[in-house]
Amino acid sequence: MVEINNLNFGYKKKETLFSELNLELKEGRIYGLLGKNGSGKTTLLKQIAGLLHPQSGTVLLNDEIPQKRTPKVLASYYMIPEEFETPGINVKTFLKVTAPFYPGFKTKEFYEYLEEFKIDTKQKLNKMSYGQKKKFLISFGMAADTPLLITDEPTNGLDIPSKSIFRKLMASALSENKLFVISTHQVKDIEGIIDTVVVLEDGKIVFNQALENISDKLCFKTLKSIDDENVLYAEKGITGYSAVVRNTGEEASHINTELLFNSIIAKDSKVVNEFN
Amino acid sequence: MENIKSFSFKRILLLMQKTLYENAKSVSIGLITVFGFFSFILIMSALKDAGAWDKLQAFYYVGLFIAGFFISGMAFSNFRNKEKTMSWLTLPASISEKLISEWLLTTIIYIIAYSAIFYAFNLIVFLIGDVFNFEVNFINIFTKETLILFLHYIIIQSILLAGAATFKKVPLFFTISSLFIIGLIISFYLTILALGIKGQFEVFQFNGNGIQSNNFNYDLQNHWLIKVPKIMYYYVTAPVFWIYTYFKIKEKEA
Repeated sequence: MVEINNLNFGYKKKETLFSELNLELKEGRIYGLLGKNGSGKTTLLKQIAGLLHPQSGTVLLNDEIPQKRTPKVLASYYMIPEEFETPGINVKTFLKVTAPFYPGFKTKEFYEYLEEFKIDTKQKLNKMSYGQKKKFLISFGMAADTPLLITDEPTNGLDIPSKSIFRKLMASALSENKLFVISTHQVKDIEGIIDTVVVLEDGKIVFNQALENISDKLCFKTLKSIDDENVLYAEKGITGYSAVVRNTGEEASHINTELLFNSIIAKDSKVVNEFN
Repeated sequence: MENIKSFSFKRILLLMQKTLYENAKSVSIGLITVFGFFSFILIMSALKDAGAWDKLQAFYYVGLFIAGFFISGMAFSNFRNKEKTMSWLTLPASISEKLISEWLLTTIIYIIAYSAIFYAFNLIVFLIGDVFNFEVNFINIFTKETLILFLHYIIIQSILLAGAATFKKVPLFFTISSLFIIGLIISFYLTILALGIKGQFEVFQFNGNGIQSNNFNYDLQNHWLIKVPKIMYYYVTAPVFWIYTYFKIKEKEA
C-alpha cells in the first residue's frame, strides 16, 4: 500500500509543486494517474519510488520509507519510466544479471510476455526501437512480480495491437496483493483496465474515485440538447453532445474516461463538486 | 518480501556481475589497452636494450596508477545520465552494497586483473626468452614496497571514487583539478611553515620526512606538523572519502 501524507515538494526551494498532498493507494487495484503534461505525474511517481526526497511530509510504501532505498523496499516495486536507457546486452544476459535482484521473478512468464509482444530475445537491448524497449521493460516489470508496479506513460511508443496486449496483460497480472499505478495523459489507452481514477492537476489531487463510485454518481450519454440541470459537463460532437450527467436513477453506462477526465479538469468542475 | 536482508555479499557479487556485463565493451578495451601498454614498453625498451625488461617494474607502478585513475573516474558511470541513474537507484540493493561493489571493482578486482595481465605478459616474455636463448628474469611484483604502493593507490583512489560520485560530467578531470588545487594549498601551507621556521622565503619541497631546499634541510619526522598529516593521510583520508561517497549516493535524486 502507498500512503502519502502532507507531502510538500518543489524542484526549487521557492517553487512548490506539491503542497500538503495526501494520497492512499490500496492493493488489488489498478490506479490510473491522469493529468495534463506538466501536472506533476512523473514527479509523484518518483516520490513513490523514492527517487526524489520530499521537502516535508512522508511517503510510505508498505510502511517503509522508499527514500531510504533499502533492498526490501526496492524489491517491493518495479518502475517503468517514460524515458529509459537500455544496456548493450541481449535479453538473456539482462535477465541473468538483473532478475536475481527480484526474489519473486517469474522467468517463464517473462518469456511468455515477450512472445506475446513478439520481441526477439537474441537482439541487443540498445539496438531495439523505442517501442520494443518499452515492451521489453513492461514484460520485465510484470515478471518481476513485485507488489507494486509503477508505469509512467507505458503506452507511449506502442503500436495499436501492442496497446491492447498491454491492457490484456496488466488486467490478467493483477491479484489482490498487488497494486498497479499507470500514469498517462493518453487517457483512452488505459480505458477498461483501471479501476480507480486519480487526477492530478497543478500538483494537486483533484479527483480520486473508484469506478464503482463514478458509475453510481455519473452517467455518460450522448444528448441532443444539454438543457437538463443534471448535465454536469458536455462536449459538442457531430451527432449531438457527449455529456456527463448526474446519475439519478441508478442507470448503468460505459465510463468514457476521456470525457470524465476533461470534465474533471474543466474550470469550476461540477463533476468534482459532485464527489465533494 | 519479509526475508530480504539489508546487507548481502551475494548481492554485491550480483552488482559486480551486472556492472561487468553491462560494461563489457569498456572493460575489454581497458584490458587490451593495458596489454598494449606493456607491449609498447617492451618493444621500445627492446629496441634500446634487450635486457631492459627487468627494469620495467617501474612501468607496472606507473600503469597501475594511471589506468586505475581512469577506471575510478568511470565508476558510478550510471550517474552520467538521468535515465541510468533512475534504474541504478531503484535496483534492489542497499547503498552500502552499491558502494562496496564499485569500490571492489575499481580497487581489488582492478589490481588483480592488472597484475594478472602483467604476469601473463611477463610469462610470455619469459617463455620467448627461453626459446630464443636470451635471459629474461621473471619479475616478482609482490614485494613490501608494492603492497605499500597498493595502499597509496587505495587511499588516492578513494578521492577519485568520491569525485566520480560527485561530478556528473568528466569526473576524472574535475577530481584531478580539485586535487591539483588541494596540492597547491598544501604547498602553500608548507612554504608558510618553512618560512616560519627559517624566517625567509625560499622554494621548499616536501620529502616525506621534512622540508628541504638547496641549502636547507629541516627534519620534521617527529614533529606533530608532519605526524598529524601523515596519520590523516594513512588512516583518515580513505574512510572520510568513502563516507562522503556513501552520503553522495544516498542523497542522489533522479
